[in-house]
Amino acid sequence: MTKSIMKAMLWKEWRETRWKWLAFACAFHIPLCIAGLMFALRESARFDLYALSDPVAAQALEFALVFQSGFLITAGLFLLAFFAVGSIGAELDNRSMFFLFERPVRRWQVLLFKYVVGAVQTTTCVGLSLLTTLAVVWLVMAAAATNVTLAGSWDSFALVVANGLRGSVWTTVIALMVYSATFLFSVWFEKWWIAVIAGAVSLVLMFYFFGSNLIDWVISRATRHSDGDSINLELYGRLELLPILAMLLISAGLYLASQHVFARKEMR
Amino acid sequence: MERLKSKSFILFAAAVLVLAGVAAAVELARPTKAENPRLERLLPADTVGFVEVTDLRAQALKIIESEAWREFSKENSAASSLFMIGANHAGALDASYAVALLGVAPTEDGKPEPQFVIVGQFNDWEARRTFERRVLPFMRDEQRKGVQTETEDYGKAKLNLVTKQGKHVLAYAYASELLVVSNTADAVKRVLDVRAGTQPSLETNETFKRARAAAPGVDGMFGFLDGAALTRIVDGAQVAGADEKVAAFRQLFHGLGAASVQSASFTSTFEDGRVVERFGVVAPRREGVLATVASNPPTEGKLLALVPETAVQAFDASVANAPQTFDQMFALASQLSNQSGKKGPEAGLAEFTEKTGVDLRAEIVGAVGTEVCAAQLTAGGSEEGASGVIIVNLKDEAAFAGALAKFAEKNQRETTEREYKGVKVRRISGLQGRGLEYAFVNGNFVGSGKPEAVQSVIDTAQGGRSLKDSAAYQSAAGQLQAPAQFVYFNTNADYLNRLGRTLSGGEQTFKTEGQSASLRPSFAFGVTREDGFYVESRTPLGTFPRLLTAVTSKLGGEKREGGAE
Repeated sequence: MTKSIMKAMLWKEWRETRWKWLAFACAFHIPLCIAGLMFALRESARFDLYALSDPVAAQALEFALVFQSGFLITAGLFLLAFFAVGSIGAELDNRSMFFLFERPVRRWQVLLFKYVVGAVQTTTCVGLSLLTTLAVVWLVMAAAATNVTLAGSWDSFALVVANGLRGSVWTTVIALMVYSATFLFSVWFEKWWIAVIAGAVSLVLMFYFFGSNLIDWVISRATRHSDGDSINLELYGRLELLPILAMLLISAGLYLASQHVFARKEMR
Repeated sequence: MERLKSKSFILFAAAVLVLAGVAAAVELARPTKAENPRLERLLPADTVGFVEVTDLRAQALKIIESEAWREFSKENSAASSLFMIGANHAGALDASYAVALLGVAPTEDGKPEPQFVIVGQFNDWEARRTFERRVLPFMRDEQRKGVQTETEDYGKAKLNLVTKQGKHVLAYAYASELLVVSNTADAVKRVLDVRAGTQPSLETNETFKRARAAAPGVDGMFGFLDGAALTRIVDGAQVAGADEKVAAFRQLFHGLGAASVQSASFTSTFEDGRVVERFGVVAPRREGVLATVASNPPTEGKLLALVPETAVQAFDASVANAPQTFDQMFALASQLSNQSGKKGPEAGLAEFTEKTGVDLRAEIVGAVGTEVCAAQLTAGGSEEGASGVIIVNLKDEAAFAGALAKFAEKNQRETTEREYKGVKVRRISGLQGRGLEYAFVNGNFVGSGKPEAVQSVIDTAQGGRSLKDSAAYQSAAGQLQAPAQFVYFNTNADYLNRLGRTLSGGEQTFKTEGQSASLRPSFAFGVTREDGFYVESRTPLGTFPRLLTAVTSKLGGEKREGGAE
């Protein structure tokens, strides 16, 4: 595969998925939209926002961090599955994949390319959404609250973001694993809606068996060991090598399984 | 999937989003019911008086924006935020309230009972329900022994009569977002009749109309008292077995000149980040003591020129008519005591003379000149501690000095004398090391518990910078439109500490010492006008902090089992 072919494929992927990616980037900020609606429609919520001050801003940021993390490792994973499910199946369904096969590229290269681009897009959406959410919350507080200033609340923001980076690592790894699983279903089933069902069922099973572990690793410890009002940031998303490595290995295994299925797939 | 990318779908989604945005904007722009309630529309035309707070949430927001709260938040940032958030979640901010006295009606025993009513206009029924649960103790304690609620339909509203162990306790009614609570069912019915349009409202009362029109700002708090209605109540009051007491009170009421008051009004509103409170009394044909007080000439503020520039606060008033006022009050009290056969004020004066050796009327009241001034020179938290001074203009210095000497002699108090910058400073020792330090400066009595206070007044009189000359006072006094009967000035150096003490006692802990801020000074004045009296004050937050404290302390939490809040 030459550099120009790689560039052309990258361009094709970008052109095909940029709007979808943008839509999903927005969808990963649904908690922010809900909060925005609440502030727009509920006077009491606006009053709370208005009454905040620099020290209390830290609590609001901590709450935003935990809420967004919770969203990402629950409802967000379903969104992610919906995004990943169109990677291969949809192209087989509308037969645009066969256009690629007529280029001087191998099958595994096509799949690798699609996997990497999709994985980068989804994990970026997930990982960054925590930080962008915190940034938006911080800016809105500084703009709306009389006693919150950017300078005065900077330390709180920096502290929450620094701790939030651990959450980003966790959610990115979990997102990669879920993406890889749904990617496999996308390769496996040509009809995208079958892949959606398969992805949803597997996600439900994952939550059934490992849901409490996921929530515990990322959120529960911080909220359980808090002093009642605020969140114990030190315990938020503490990095544990074993589960992270295990999820990365599962992701790699799922990708290899996708290559295996794709190599043997009969496509007409 | 492909359908999601189609142009028509994107256009449809965009249209839905725009519609949702427009709907949200309309919802936001529409004033809520509590924002513009005009609660006088719900009160009967013959209401004696009422005080209303318009949209408590809007007032709380103005507090947050105020100069004082911003400064207070710098020192108490977490506590101030949590206090406001606590007030928000107490469930009482989503409304406008009015507390009114509708009149007096006889009870079953024949005793006159005032009819008070609280009217709450809420933003929505949910806010009203929250208020009901938190404020009406009998509603949340309904299951307790002896408490019974009977409900009856009255027009379109539900009228509830609450009794405890057979005794009537209160009555309340709700209709949509309105809640009416009173000590009598009749008062609730009168409000409901006005709401239904079967009885005229206070809005149609001509006296009220004039008072409302004369009030410059009514977006915060507004109070109104109908003088004629009050006089009617006093004149018509009859209490079985207490005719003499009622007659005496009636005589006092008329003697003081209260019957000549047509109306009184009060407004409290935020202006330029501070609270402006205005109090007006309409009494064009003043009678009795009120007429004497009203004919008092304005203060010249000469004594303020003796108060040091560094003073924390000062009050200066004209007392030119003090002897006449004293005589009139004395005569009124004598008349009442004669009628009731009780000990009169003459006996009290004789007792005073016997104990102190001083003739109060002749030597004290008679010696007082035209003006009196009280000033606090140092704040409580300062190194030297709080100190104050009283300065009284005298028309007969010798008589006043003689009265003080007589007092010391009669009570066997040690008297010492020293000289400070050519002025004799005397001291009458008191109990527990205390005493009165005093001097006569330019024909004025200067007295204090602390020698430094008297000395600083002497320093000021001998060329030191006075409060009256200070830029802060001059700027604050700029709002005086006419010569005033009294003026009050406060640098607010200690305001944040006082605010901390006012708000303390709840869940939040505020600083009550060591806070200093450069707030604009408070200033108040009172003037006599042709049609009555007018008092205006500009302070950092007025009475609003107390109002919010009351809201949060009373409604801050629902009672749980065991009585814990």
